[in-house]
Amino acid sequence: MSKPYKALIQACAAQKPQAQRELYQLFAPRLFAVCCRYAASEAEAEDILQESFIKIFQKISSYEESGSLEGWLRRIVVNTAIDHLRRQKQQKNRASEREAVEIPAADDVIADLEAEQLILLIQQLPDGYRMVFNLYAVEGYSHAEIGKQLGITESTSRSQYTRARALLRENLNQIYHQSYVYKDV
Amino acid sequence: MSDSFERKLQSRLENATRTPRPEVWAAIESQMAASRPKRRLFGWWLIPEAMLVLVCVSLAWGSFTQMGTPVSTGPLTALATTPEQGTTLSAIPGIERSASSDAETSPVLVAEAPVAAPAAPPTAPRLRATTTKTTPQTQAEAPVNASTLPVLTTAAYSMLPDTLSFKPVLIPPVPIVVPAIGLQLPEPHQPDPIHMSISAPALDRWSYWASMRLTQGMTTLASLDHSQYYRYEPVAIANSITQTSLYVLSLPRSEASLAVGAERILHTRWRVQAGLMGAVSSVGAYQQGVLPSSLQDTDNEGFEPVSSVLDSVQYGSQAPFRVVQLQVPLRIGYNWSRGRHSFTPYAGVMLSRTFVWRDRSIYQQEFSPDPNINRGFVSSSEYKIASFNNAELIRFRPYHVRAELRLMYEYRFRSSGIYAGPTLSYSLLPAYTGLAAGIQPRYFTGVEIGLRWGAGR
Repeated sequence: MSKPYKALIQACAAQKPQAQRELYQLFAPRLFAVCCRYAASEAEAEDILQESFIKIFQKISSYEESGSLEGWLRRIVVNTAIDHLRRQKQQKNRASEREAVEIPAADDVIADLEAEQLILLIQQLPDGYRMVFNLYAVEGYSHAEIGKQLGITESTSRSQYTRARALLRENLNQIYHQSYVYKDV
Repeated sequence: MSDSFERKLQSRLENATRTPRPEVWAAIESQMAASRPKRRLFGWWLIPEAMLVLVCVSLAWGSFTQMGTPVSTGPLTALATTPEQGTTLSAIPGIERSASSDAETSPVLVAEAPVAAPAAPPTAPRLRATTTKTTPQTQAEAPVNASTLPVLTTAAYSMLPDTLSFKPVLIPPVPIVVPAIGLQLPEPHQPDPIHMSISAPALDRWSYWASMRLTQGMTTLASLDHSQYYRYEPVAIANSITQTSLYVLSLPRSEASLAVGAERILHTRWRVQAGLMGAVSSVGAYQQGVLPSSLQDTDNEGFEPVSSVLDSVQYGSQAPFRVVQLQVPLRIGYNWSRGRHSFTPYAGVMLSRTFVWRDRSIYQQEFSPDPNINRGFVSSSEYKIASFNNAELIRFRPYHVRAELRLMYEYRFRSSGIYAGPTLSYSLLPAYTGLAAGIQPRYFTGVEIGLRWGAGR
């Protein structure tokens, strides 16, 4: 059990409202950012966060020493997001079938963007793409794991990721041109 | 696809934060509260706990009623007598101003009582009176002292004339509140115990408590006008008839109380408490006695303080008396908890209303000017002892306020907790006012033990 949070976890396991509130206040901002990346809107992200914390409070007694508390919480949030989106059957591929075009300039934009702006860009991705993109690019899952999680084949995961990435880069490129190229003029 | 893109993205998003709206937590909180299993207010485990509390209360009550075995409760008649030469009232600070050289001829209340057997039967010999209360006739015979005597006698009699006849007075039974668990205490003096059914809404932030407290009063005041003696023991000098005999009134006050109440968590660690407390107090055994000459003042300016521990045969009678109060504690506390253990200091006020104020009996101890001679209560020819009942010189203030501090340690188990800790209270209003003297305890230290149950812990 992670030592700094040992007492807090024990109190949460005992269903103490005070401790639950404390845990929420500690981790909600980070976990909400994760939720936002998976959700299409802020309202949906709030739903995922709420559902996640209910699960966290119900399952916190099963949390063990292995791994960090934040990692454990993130996994729950990610799994909840996957369940949520799967349940709502919103995994509609609304993306255009355009081929991804590599635009090197987009990489430079990432460093200059606020995390919140990045999250907004990721939110604009179609549901299926967004899910695969988050799991692969941010959470570090392999395509095989993603396929297993989402009930799709590994190759589908790969292709969806490629398209998601291309869409994101395209969006980033637009921002690059609006802010940098236009600025130069 | 370049790895740098993912790396940059990952590093940018890894510690990203966004603050959710407050409504999200409100929704989570309400959902958790709804899913939380409701705790039963009463369970089987409460029965042994309640029995334990009742046993403790019974023991405490028993110890109070055993205090000061009554020897004589018979009627006391009084007659007037003239003190011996050299006796004066000037030793009383409040009185010396009005005492005159004619004090020798003034009627003085003196009492003469038969020797009380150490283990006297309930039908112990009555106090035989050799004095009488001040009447217009006796006052007329002693006009010089008319300004003095009413202070000591007439006013006192008019306040509580009951006691002058020394009729036996029974303390009314204390109503015992029995929680709704089907238990009932058999009380011979109590035909109908009050049954109270406690029910409370299962609100998340509320908890309920029942406690028992034993308190001992302390005072830092010691004498009427001797500020230098204020730090002495709880002793008051009530009256003096001669330079060799004194009345000593001692008011150590002990108290047993039983309380129920509710507590609400205000915010995180803060909580407020309110309740209802029934208290039975032994205000003290007021002592009547004499001082050895070595302890007396010779300058007629007052008295030396005297120990309230009157274990010497030189000291006289003792009359315990009781008070029954209804108290309302209002407190605020701050809680520190770790696991099952928690500490909560509380501060607040205790409002109380006194219902019963009675002396229970007159109890004569061995009484002799010579510690080596066990002669019992001395005759008027040897010592002049004022026989009025000091308890009656003390008027009781019916409403009373105390400031209170408590430090409670609590151990939680199952859905309840047991707590215990010391208490300290300070009387904000004087409990008594006295014509002769009444030194009220100002500080009360005690020990409290209790149970708490309910969700808001």
